[in-house]
Amino acid sequence: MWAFLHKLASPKHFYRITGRWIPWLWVITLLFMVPGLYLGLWVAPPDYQQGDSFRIMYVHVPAAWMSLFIYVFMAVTGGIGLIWNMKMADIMAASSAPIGASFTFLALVTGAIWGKPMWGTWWVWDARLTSELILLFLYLGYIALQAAIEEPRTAARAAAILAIVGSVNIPIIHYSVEWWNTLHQGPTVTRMDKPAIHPSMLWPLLLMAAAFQVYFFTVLLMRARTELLWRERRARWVREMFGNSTRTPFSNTEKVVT
Amino acid sequence: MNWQQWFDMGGYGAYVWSSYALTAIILLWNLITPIFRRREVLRKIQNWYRQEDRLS
Amino acid sequence: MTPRQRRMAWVTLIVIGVSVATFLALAAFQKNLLYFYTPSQIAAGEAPTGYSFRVGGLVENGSVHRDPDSLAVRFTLTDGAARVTVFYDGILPDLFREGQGIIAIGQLQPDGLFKANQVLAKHDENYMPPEVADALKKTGRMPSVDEFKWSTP
Repeated sequence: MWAFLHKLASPKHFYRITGRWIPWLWVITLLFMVPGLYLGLWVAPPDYQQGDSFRIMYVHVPAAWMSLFIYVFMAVTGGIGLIWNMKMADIMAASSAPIGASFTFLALVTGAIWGKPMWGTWWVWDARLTSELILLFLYLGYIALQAAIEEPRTAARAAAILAIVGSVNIPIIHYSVEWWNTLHQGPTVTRMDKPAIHPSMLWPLLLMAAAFQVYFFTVLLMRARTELLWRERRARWVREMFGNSTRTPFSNTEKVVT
Repeated sequence: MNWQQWFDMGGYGAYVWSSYALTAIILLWNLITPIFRRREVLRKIQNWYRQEDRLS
Repeated sequence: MTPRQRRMAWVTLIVIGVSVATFLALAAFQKNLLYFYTPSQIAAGEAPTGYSFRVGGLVENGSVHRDPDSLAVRFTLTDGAARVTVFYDGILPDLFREGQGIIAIGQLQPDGLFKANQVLAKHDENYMPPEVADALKKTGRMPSVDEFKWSTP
């Protein structure tokens, strides 16, 4: 296990191994998403209060969960890169930011679309909605900071610190509906005392959440592999893979692949 | 349940379908941008290698 | 300390520092983050007069009176301990009904009437098919509204 992880941390092996994973990850994503959509949009009965509008939940809730998960993932990989100087961790953190931002945006907009008919408003400044909006700004700030610093190591370090500092927002988002009076309702699925959602409605939610999770890792690996090629363009293995010439690269462009 | 009823979503069709359409757009965007970025990167590094080969 | 341990210590320090600072700030602003006041708080005189604020509560059963000629509606909001009468002239959200959690935005009149210029519905975290809801209501196992913690801050 450790030997395998260690191998994954090496750019060359990472590139080779994950290239084989991606098609399978797409298959798994679809295996979760197709039944999730079928059960959620067709089989699940309408809600006793919200009618069919509650089906927005099957994209809104997984998107919101992913917005939190990806931020934690970004802060943790960023922290690993910061402390252990690990190039692969830097690349993972940087590559997850735009995906996380897009999920946050999706959660906010589908929430607004759901809120209009049910609450009677597109937007309110309650603690849940405001903290989720701050999360979007954190993602955008992270992306901007990465883009503003030319040197990859410095950029990764600065962005990792921003991600770690911003991670205090994550428990605030999660517990906002319990700590304060909010328009947004309390947690449904993580409530342990009694079932707050009927199983016929819960299953599609879990399937969609799993689909979004696998989807995230799939597109993350796609991004990370490209980013890796760019950062490692001076390395011999990249040149051997993509260079047109048959002659060996000259010594000053060589870099030890570890 | 027939198709007409299904698209209507009990009167919430516009809200439900616009949410799912936006989700589809976001998921496709996350898929397409890395593909284009990959093409761009490959083109760049191949140009870069060619230039170096010429210089040597 | 090795450089790695030093970096680790820095990261830990930053996380702890920011967490403590955020906690203190949130504790200080607790009141401002309250999205709405409850009828009990209004009865206790905690709500502001003269400017707009929000009140949240359940629409009392049998309290909704609609004006037949306009959109105007008058209803009573309660949190179980106190009540406040709300007057509103506008389009109500789809979820508005008796027993529903509602947030009204407006001003408290000197006579105690709350004149709302916007009414929002707060739905609960329970999702079930209508038949299940009916069955739960019949057997009296429907989660009752006072279990939703939002009614008491």
